[in-house]
Amino acid sequence: MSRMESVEQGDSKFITSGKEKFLYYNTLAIIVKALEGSYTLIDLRNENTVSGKIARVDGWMNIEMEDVVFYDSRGTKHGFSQFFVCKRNIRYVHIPKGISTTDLIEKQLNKLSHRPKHKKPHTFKKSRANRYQQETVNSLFSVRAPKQTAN
Amino acid sequence: MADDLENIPAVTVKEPLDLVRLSLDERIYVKMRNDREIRGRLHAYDQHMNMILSDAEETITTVEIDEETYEEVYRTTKRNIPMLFVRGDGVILVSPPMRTS
Repeated sequence: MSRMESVEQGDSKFITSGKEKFLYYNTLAIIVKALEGSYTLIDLRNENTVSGKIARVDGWMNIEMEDVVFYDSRGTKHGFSQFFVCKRNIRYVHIPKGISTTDLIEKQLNKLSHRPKHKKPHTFKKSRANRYQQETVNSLFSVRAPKQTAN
Repeated sequence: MADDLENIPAVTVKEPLDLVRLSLDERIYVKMRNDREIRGRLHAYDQHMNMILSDAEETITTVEIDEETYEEVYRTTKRNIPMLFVRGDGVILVSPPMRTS
């Protein structure tokens, strides 16, 4: 249950393990993560190039892309609506112009650490327990109070 | 006296990556696999040697064999990339900027 909650929270909903979180906080994978949603060019190890929108990135830097144009080493174009780049095939990721990398990292760290407060459902059982507790506290004080005045 | 001089380190290099840290925000030379070289300003790096370089100039060296003389002809192609993320597994060496130049 608690695992499910943490998985569904906010921007960190795709973080599945502590290891992945560690990688985000300790490697530059976070900067590729921060590029989610922007259009970039990725050079692959086999001399091919992929240009398109980065849809999702994980802590190991596997990249899911959308609206992709794939250029092979001869320059021939192929279009794909979905594209997955395995981490070890990446050589370069071009970062769009006019972006400060430190800002990018900072923003992404804030996003990852941001935890929206989980609202627990209000139940009759809980309110009853609260009421009982309040009553016992009150009764304790009402018993004690006269004693203190007597002293 | 001589001991005293030796005890004062000019720069604190305790582990190899400290050398890279000292090159932060300076132009470095990176030798990559597949006969590629990059020169660029180092913005960030991590323990895998993933790096972020700005104003990067990539040089690719290819060898072609001349069909008549059978001589090896080295051809370099260069391209400039304003901001580049380099994945660490392709890095062979990182050289700090040259102090003399």
